[in-house]
Amino acid sequence: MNEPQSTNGDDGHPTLVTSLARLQGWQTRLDDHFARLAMIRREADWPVFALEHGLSVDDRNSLLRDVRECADSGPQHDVPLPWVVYAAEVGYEYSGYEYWQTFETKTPGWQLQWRERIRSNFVSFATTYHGAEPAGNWARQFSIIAWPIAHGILPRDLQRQLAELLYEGSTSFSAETFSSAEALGLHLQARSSGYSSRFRNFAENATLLGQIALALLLQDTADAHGGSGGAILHTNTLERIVADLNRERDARQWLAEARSAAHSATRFHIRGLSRITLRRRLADTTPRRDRSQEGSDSFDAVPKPHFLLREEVQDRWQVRLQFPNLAHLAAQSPRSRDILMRRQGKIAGATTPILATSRIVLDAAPTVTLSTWPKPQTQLLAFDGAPPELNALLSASFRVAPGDRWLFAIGLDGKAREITTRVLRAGASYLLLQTTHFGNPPAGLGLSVVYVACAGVYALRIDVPKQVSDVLTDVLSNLELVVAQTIEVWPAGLPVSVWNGEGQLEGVTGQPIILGIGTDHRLTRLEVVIDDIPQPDIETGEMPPGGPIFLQLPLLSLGPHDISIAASTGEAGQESIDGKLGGQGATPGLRGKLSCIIREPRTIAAGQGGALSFAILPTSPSLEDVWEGRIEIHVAAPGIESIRGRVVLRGLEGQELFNRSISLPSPCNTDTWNDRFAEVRKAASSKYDDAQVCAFEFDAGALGRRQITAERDFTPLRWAVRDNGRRVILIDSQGCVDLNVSQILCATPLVEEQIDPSDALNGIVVPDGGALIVARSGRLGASTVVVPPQRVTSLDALSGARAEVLKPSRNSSAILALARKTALWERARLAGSWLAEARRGTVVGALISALIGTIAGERWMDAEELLRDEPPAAQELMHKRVAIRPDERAIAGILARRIESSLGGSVAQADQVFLDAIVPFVHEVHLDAIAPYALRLASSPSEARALVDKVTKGSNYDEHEKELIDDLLLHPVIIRAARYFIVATRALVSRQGREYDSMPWAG
Amino acid sequence: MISNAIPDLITASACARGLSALGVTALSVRALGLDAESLDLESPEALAALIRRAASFATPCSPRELRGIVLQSLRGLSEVGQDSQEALHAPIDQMIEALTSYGDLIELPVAESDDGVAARTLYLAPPTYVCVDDVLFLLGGVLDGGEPVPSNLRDAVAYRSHSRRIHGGNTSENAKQLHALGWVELRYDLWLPAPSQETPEQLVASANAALAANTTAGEVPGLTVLDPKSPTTYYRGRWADPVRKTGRFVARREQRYGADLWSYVELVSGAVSHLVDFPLTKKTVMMRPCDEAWHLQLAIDALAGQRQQYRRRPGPPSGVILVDFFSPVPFWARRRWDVLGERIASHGSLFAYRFPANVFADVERTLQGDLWLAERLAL
Repeated sequence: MNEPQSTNGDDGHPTLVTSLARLQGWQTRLDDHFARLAMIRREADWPVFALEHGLSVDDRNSLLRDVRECADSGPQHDVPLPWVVYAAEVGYEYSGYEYWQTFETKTPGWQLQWRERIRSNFVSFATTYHGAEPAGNWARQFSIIAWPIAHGILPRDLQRQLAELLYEGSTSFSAETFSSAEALGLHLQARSSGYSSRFRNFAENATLLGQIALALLLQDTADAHGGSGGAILHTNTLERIVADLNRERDARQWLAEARSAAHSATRFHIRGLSRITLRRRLADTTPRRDRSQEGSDSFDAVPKPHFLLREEVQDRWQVRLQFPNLAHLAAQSPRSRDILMRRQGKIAGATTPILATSRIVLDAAPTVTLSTWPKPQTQLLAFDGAPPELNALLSASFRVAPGDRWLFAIGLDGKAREITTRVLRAGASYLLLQTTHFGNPPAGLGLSVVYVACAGVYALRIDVPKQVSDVLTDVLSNLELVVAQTIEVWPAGLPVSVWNGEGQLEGVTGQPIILGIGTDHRLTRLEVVIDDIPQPDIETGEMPPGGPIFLQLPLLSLGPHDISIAASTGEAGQESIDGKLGGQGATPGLRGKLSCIIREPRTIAAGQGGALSFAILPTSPSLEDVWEGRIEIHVAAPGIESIRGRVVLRGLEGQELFNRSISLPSPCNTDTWNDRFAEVRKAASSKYDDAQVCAFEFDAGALGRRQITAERDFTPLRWAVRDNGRRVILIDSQGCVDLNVSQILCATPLVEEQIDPSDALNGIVVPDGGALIVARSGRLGASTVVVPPQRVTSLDALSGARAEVLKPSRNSSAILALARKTALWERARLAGSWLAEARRGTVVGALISALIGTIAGERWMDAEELLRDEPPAAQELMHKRVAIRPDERAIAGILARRIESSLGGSVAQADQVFLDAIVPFVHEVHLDAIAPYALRLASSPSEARALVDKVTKGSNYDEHEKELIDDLLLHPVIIRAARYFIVATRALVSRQGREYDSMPWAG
Repeated sequence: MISNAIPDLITASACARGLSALGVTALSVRALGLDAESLDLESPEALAALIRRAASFATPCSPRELRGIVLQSLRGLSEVGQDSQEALHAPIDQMIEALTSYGDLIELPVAESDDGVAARTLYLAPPTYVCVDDVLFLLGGVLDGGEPVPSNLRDAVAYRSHSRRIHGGNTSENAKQLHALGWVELRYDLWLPAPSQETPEQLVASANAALAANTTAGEVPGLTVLDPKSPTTYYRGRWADPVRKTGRFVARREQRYGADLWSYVELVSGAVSHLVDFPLTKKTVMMRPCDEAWHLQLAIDALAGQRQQYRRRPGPPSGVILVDFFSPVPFWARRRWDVLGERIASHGSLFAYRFPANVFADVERTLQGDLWLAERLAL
């Protein structure tokens, strides 16, 4: 083997061979190594990673040094492998913040234009050595760095998160989870939503994720037991990753627990790994009844409400409706989230027909009392403005079952729960509800009419005796009920998640289920069929009649299962009770059916641990989401008045930059949080730009504690702020070739000044007055408003110099261009000092004033001028000037009267209030489209654009928006009315401390 | 055939199989993390674990709902409940009370959703540890029957009646391992709050002042009172109808839903003239109305010269002292005893504890100094 020489002279520099020659030596050695590895891996289809170079620490350092010494001539074509390994090593050490900056820092002489060569080297590596190929959206977006990062296998900054995910996922490990690396990867991927955006990108490639996880969980044990060694990852590489991972206590503990669970789930032994494949076999991809690989979403997507009856006093029952928690849906659908968190629900038939805002997301099982029984097929819960996915769920699953009778079984806790069969059991008690009177039941049969405090239904209590007479059988038959003489089943020994008392059971993955089976017959044999698969017969021996026998089910996979139990009594010809199965006549005896659903265990992340109620949306917010107020939050603990909060900012290396405790009231909603967090944001503003992570803790003592970590967004183009906001650097992770960079001063927010992209990549100084800095490349873009820190001595200084904005020409093209510029300012990130938000507010205000003034006409501009300094006077002037023509004069008065009513409702209601107010005065066919657009343009042009996008679904939106602006130019009274409506609404909200529920963009 | 052997959780997973009651008991006890060779499901340790597991699925819920789930699990398995499951109500209820006092379960007031009726609701405490000297006391659990204790510490957990503790080993290292898996530390002084420093006179006087400010006229449905004149050694027998009674009493009154409320009432010939519900003060979120009521009753009895009593018995084994209690006591006292000793089966008393003889002086200080109990001589 051609070993590269590592002989150094006394001065530490190579003396015997040149660095280039040494690279050739490395090339030969690595080629030999990877060729052998590829040969082994190809057989089982496991890909090879560049990090699996197998070099010792000393050799690795030598290789890195040799590459660096040749760096100023760039990656040479004849020695690709040292460069591939070098780039993978940088990928392994990569912190997720700046790959190329890290690369350049470590590689003196490196030039930007060589990035593509690195990519092509990796592509060749994948072809030649059966190398891993990055996949997923992230890999497409970051088409170059995806390679070295994927070949870095598990970058160090993701190791902790992977260990945590393995631990979280281990609570629901099963044998199926380990049927393939892909299956394991999908299992983990389905649980990665609460992790950082960068980790979610990493988890997009389920096969890679599964391969790494499999190696971490099982490979070292296989190797220790004499396995072939390095079956999934090279032994040295795995040891290196595990050693790094074990450096941190939490990660070490998580990995240890996950390994323990993996071994239990697989009954792992020496040859275990050889049976696990990389990808799922075709036959495994759609297993019958086995939805374990689909993740929990599809399974959880069909929650249903349940009726419950509760005895207020003896023989007087109350009807209650219990809804499922829809937090899962809120987490999946931002549109649904907005509605579920901010809107009241409307309940059919309820005493209080309103489900309070956000209860459906925050309560484990929100329950309401019904005063009227809803008609069959009535939708039980509705939300104004619900998006289609929410409406589809509510329409399909939140309905009263058809029919005119509903049967409820009275449980041990005294509550009666609806059951879907019409089969009663001896010795049990029931309530039958129907829409007509029952009349007087015959005495002595255990039947009694009871009062139900719900209009539209009547109730009959049925206490079924142990011995059922023929008379009772006849009476019940008239009510379409039968008394089963079949076997009785219940969960025995260990509680299950849900048991409705009559054959519907919900269990949790990985936990044993034992059924008690009772009958008044002597049983000789049990035949059990699970999902059409017959189980071995169970001879019951000489069990006494009536004495229960017990059945342990096999560990069932995630999803629904049908279980049939047939009990042989040894008495030939005994009639089967279950009509469907009895007709088959296979076994004389008794039969029963059980519907069983296996779900995943809930985790603390679901916000349901202890008595602390906690919800945050999005479930994994970025640092920017938190900082710029784009999160919904709820935290509450019963019985206490305050919850201790803590906010910690950490830098790239994990160092603490800021630490502040805050006291939050209980309950604390989004608005209260925003108020309290504003103080923190101000105090931390000088640290924010250096922060990579924001950690929150909510501590209610013994009642519970929750922690949330928000990391910076990871995007291909990004501005990083340096020197406390005095300088910004463009981070280009994609190596964009068509970069366009510009700067727009706060003082002149329409004047765009071009900047040399290479200057931006090296860092540019931010002007004192602050600026919007923009970078664009194709469809990618990054913009940020930065204001350097400065002493502020007055309110005027806070908002900055008055922005110079020239009114555009009064045509739709010019107005649209101004709207786009305004939207750019609105959507830009905030950085530098806390002044950035105030300065941006000033600029956006000035731009909107110019925009509205141009459409509304000359006289309106006076009111806009007043708005900055004297809002009440401006509002009064606007009220007077909404109308120009005499027949328009009533508009302002009508709007003023209706503002309050629009505030508590939905967005659709606010739109309707405005439309209704102007309809009598504006004769325009498309008013229903123009009015909501005007309302948004008058307060947030970016929202106006979003509305147009929604309507046009992204095609020809410019043309469509121009048409809307043309309509406004034709009927300027609409924009004047809209602007007045917005300004007056803001004043009311400010006076009353209300929320912008109906117009969230207007705040 | 149905097997009596202790089933293996994993090998049993291949297909359905029949089990005897003994097999079910053994499998369940093992699944609860306990020793199936020495415990059955009705042993205090297993019953406590069963309730914790039921709570991990069902809470928030009422104590009655929790009891219903546990009853169902024990159906067909219990010696005690062979003839009637009602025989199991008392041991389950007492264990729920013990777990609530200890801190595994948290009882909190929660306003019902739409009818505004206040109810007391149980929650499973989040996984929490309390470090007392070199012992880690474990409280609470995770949802859905999950096992939160790190796998390498499971064998180190000592189960004593309803309490779980880890002693020995490196306490600090153990605490760090728990912390890594999401356990939170509860400060010793928060878990074991110092007893009130009030004298019986002060406690009764402040309760009377609160009562005086709450005039009530008319009938209070479902009212029963704790009669101070009745013998203090039979707690259930002390509850009496208010008819023709005059004076101030700790009382319970029915409400439409949920458990009865704890109240302090003043009666004039059986008619309620003043009524105030517990809690009278907001001392701590963990203080339940019943704790405050029991504490007040201890003070009332002490002032009336009829102190409540405890009975001391010697072991076996030697070196321990068994103590019988005849009335309930506030949670903070029971926690203290959970630390110093362990709850044992009671005979002829409401509940009983076993203490090492060398800590009994400390126990006695609480008994006599903080709870104003008097020792009852063994018969």
